[in-house]
Amino acid sequence: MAAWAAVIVVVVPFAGGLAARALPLRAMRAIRALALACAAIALAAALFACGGIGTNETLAVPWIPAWGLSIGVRVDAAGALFALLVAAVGLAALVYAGPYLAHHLHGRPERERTFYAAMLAFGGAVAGAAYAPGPLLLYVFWELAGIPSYLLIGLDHDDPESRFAARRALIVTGAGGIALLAVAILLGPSFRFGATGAIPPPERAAPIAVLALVAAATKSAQFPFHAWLPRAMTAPTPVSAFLHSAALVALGVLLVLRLSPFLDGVLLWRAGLVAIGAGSMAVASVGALAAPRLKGLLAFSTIGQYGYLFWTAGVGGAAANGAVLAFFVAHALAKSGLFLVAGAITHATDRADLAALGGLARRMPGWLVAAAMLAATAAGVPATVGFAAKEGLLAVSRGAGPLPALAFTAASAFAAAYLIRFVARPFFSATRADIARRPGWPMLVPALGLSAAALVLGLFPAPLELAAGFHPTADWRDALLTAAALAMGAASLLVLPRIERAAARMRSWVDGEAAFDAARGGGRAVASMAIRLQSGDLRRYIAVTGIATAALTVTIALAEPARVPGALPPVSVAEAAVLALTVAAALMIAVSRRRVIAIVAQAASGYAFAALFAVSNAPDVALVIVHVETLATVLFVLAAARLRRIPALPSRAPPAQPRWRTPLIAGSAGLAGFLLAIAALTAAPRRPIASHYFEATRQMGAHDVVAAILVSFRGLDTFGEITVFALSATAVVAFSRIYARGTA
Amino acid sequence: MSPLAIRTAQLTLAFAALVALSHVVFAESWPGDGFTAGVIAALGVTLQYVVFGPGRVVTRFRGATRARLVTMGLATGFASGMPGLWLGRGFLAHVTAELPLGPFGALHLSTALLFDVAIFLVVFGVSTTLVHHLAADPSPGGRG
Repeated sequence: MAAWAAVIVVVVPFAGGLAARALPLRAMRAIRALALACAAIALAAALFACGGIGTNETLAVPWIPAWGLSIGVRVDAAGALFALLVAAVGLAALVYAGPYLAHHLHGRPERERTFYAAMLAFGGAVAGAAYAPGPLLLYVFWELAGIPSYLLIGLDHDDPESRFAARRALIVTGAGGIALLAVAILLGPSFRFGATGAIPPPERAAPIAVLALVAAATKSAQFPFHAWLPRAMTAPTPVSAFLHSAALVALGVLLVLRLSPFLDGVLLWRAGLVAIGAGSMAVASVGALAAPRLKGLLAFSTIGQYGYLFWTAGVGGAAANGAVLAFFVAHALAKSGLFLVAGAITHATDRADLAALGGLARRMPGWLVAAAMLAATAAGVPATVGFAAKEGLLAVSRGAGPLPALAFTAASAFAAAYLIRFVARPFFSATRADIARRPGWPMLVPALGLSAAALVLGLFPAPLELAAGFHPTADWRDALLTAAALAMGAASLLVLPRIERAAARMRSWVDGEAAFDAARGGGRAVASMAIRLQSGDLRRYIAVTGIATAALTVTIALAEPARVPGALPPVSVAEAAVLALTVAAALMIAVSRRRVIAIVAQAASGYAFAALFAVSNAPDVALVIVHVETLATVLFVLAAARLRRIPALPSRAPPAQPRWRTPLIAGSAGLAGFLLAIAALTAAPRRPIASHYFEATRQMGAHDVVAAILVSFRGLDTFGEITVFALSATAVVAFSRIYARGTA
Repeated sequence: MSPLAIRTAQLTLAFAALVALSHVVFAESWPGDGFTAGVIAALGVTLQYVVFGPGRVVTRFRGATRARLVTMGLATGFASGMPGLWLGRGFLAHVTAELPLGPFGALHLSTALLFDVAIFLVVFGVSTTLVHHLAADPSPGGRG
């Protein structure tokens, strides 16, 4: 039953998203109601699906049985909690979005409809990823989540900055998606998460580890791929609350949780996670204190707190999975709520800069309560769910030694400092921001709901501990370190402006733009190399092909002299005559000065070849050659006739070449081809394959072995060939149109 | 354009079409298959271009566009590969079935035949496309 509930969590939002997109714009109320209904159903079903946690209930339908692929869901602790959280945050974001969008997207109903459709589709995709039983299905949903994410970040597509941010997010996370696909392929189609025996072959562990780290770090906006997340803050606030705190960036952590049990013993994996986590915590500590805007601060804090999770997964290995999962839940509740607060402040004051905000404590008291509780949760203050969860992370670090414990404590202190900055600046600083409009109850209730959930789970942690399999142990040393971190964070309040200025000076070091620019520079270098190689000069390509053929043949002949043929089979008089004709025709092509003569000579060479097959007991092959040769000759004549009418392009005048070059290249390539052909004909294969094909053709009940090979035994090759054939026609049509336009 | 040339071109096209049909239908039994069928039929059409010129042939073949033939061919080829995949034997592993026709014996059906039809459509469509575009007059006012 739990598995069927999981199917509902995936399918209902997807279907709802498609339906919302199909509804007319004037039915906006219906679209909104549909979105809320779908989100509520998904939440109820996700709650129900948690019942399957203990048994790991699985549902699978064969997809491509030949490859061992199936479609299905698997309800385990990580998947169920993940999907539950996504459903809860999604519902909160959608409730909040009603009044928020009414103001921010006023008069743009098509964007509002896109918003609801994309949010629903996104929720379904992420739930599908959460319940995915294997890496390939995870990849499918991972990429499905990327498309609505792109649409949502770029919702304000008049704004060039929004378009840029959306494209960057798509490129970075898309590159990670390709890495994940490679992981799925390396793990094999029958690999299942949660399996015990199916550990990847040891020689594949290193590439799997590296690729999975790239995939997880790009999706979770981790160092050094984090630059896309602060940019993505151009998205409307409900999008940030849903995608950039709970759902999209969490997919990377989900991947880490899924693969940790299999890669526990791989040093590269553990060290990579630690490095990514440490880098992310460092850049976030500075970035969040330097960020000039509310949402930018939260984006960096998300980078840093996901950094905690990568760090802990690296330090503690798979044994830390329960702690990682528990903190993931705590963080998602807190951070999505904080995004809602940030959106409400901007909604009320039309300001997003922290420096321009202040004095809101009296005028937005409800929001102050929500902000304080949520920030306390994210910082790990006692009585919130963040406390127990963070203690769990700290215990893992402390278990690894004093240095990791101190590093983690330092990161926590910075987190406390920037979270205090988030609350202190807008609510308490002396700058007075005027209230333009009041964010109403429909906006406040989701934020308070999330903070209440954080409080309830903090006071009664049993359900979370049970579900995540996480059992915190009270330890005075952890409590001491946490207290120290919080105290340092609180103390920073005294010197906040100085810290902000210091952090702002270091901003360009941590914003990740350098990594992105380096990647772009690398791409440009590759592109310029490709342009140099693809010069567009056909003779150059032919020369490269000819030289490569000759060089390869000589290499093979030198490496394996035994393959070089000795004696030629006897040649009959008829064969010799036909061969002489072929050679004469070929020579004529080489020496002819007129195109038509070359074409005719080529046709003669081809027909002579057909005659060779005819006298060698292969009349059907001869027939095919005659047909093809005829068609080719007609095409050559037509092409030559057209070439005459196209004026030579002056800029592409061929550079002067020594006279011996072309004959030398052509001669050596021809000689190499000749040697290869002789070697192929005279070397007796160890096991002739012809008899096998004859036998198999007879068994099929067919009589024509050529057709059987083309259609049945090598059908995929044939399919590839006809595709290439079709592509070549496309090229000819394109060129013919270009020249028709150019001469007109 | 002599009457003899016209008659010859028309007869050749009809004959080429018949031969092409036989090559596709009897691909498994006799020499010849979808590929030769496509080339032979295209040769028949090419003779039309030689005799009548590109302008006239275009009007005669307006019904089925060449691009559509190629697309249909690729789609048919892809579709003919799916039953094998579905039955767990792999893409393009051909599946056969006997359709009993009572007193007329049985009809031997195979996705291999469908694949031959696909090859024919692509080869014929591409060849005629090449002929058409290379034969067309690109000069100003010409039919390009």
